[in-house]
Amino acid sequence: MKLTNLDHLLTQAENSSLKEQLHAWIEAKKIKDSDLVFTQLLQNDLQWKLFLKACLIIIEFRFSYSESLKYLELITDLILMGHDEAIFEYNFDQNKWTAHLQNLRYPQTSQRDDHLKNRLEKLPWPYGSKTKFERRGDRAGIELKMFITSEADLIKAISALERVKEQIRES
Amino acid sequence: MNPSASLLPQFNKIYIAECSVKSEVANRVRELYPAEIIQIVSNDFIDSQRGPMNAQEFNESKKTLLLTEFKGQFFKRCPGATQKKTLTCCNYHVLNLGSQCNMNCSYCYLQSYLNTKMSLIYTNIDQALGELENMIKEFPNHPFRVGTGEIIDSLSLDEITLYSRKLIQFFQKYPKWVLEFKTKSNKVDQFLDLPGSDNIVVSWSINPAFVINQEEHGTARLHERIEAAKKCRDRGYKLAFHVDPMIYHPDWKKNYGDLVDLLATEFTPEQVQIISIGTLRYQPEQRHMMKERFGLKSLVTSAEMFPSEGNKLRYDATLRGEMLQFVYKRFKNHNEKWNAFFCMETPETWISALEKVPMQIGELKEFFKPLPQV
Repeated sequence: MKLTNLDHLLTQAENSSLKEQLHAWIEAKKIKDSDLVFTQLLQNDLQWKLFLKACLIIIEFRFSYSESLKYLELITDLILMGHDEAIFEYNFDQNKWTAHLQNLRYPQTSQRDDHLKNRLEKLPWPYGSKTKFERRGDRAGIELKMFITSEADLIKAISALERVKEQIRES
Repeated sequence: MNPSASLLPQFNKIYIAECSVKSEVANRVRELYPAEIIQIVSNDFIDSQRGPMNAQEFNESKKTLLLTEFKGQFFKRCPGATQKKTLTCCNYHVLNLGSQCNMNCSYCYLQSYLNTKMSLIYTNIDQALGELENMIKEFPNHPFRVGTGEIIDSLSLDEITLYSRKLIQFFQKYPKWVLEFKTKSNKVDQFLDLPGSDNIVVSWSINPAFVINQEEHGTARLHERIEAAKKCRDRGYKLAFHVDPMIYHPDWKKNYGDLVDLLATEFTPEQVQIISIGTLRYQPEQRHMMKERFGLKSLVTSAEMFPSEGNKLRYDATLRGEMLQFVYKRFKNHNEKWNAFFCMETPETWISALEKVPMQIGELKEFFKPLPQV
């Protein structure tokens, strides 16, 4: 009989100290069998070893349910693309590690985003506004926050945004 | 007219439903394939074959064929038209005369679409033509474009069905309505004794040889598709090319540039009714099956894809705009008359690549003008 994805994961962890932790994590996060469909792609002991090591880090960092699954799938991709221990660089810091994983899986987009971020952050955004570079799905851009209290504020902000538009056009 | 056995599409098993036993297609299948692989089954056999497929079942579904009758409505709007809020759609309509494909492209959307564990050929084409005839009587002057290559390749199994011949003869009676065969095969000889006309378009999904070799398994190679297109052109058929899906790879500019140059050298804008351009896109749920079937070394499964409008995974919007604009401009640099447009794209992408939406482009206005809903 074919093992379920969850059974298979626990079987792979059988001989490690991870099994109890994995069990608790599955219970706590209410992980379903269908959530782990991507683990069916793992073919050999080395791939499973890397995957279980990643599970341990994700459990220790207390990723949310959706973040856990998102990064486990991404890590599975990386393993199947031939990455090994490089996956675990920067794993001392959650933010640095997830950024590192994104860079490994999406290298060209990460490079383009960095370039765009540098370009956008140098633009003369309105004084006092807050900018935050973000990727939302297939689009990357700046989230701009402004606090306007008067018509004069608004006129200044619009004029600053006109300068931003001109600089974007010139570049 | 019978093709040699070694060139026929390969099936391990062919089932014929009782309702289709006396059909022309069933007779032809019995002529072309060995009796040992053919079995007659009851009309409800298909019900036992429904359900979601795993990767292995999907592979097997390409090698098993069922001839049966279709019980629903043959004539439908293109799926792009059902997402009018997010996509700019070109009013394409589809006539599905079967489902599944005997070729094997890594990006194929059928991997998340089909739920029957075998390839199907519908034997009641006369009913489909009757449906069309009613539509044509209702809207005789509307320029409907009807394609048969939506959930099955229009021509790769045509040596078995010979449906192209019936469709060509039917559409030639109604010159305002346009029929489009869409294929990645080079199977055209079976209808070339029939002269072409301006409302019969034979079209090819086309990619650079590098992408075809890597991702479009079991399809005709680039030079074979070009040769087949030339044969159709020489018999008076209109052509179309779908540079779709464009697949990003390090040499994409060189390879897609060379492809456009090849098409622009071999054909003229007058011979090619439409060039549609699209980039790789697929439903998120099909990613697991693609990875299982093609591994992570494929340009498609290893691609950098992100959720986009309409829920499909696509390349980064800026990269997409760059790729679409590159091919579009390359055609236009050869000759302004090339009639190129983007397939299943958002208005934002049209504007970022061309600063216009299709209704603002003279030669595309007709294609994108809303038509009556059917």
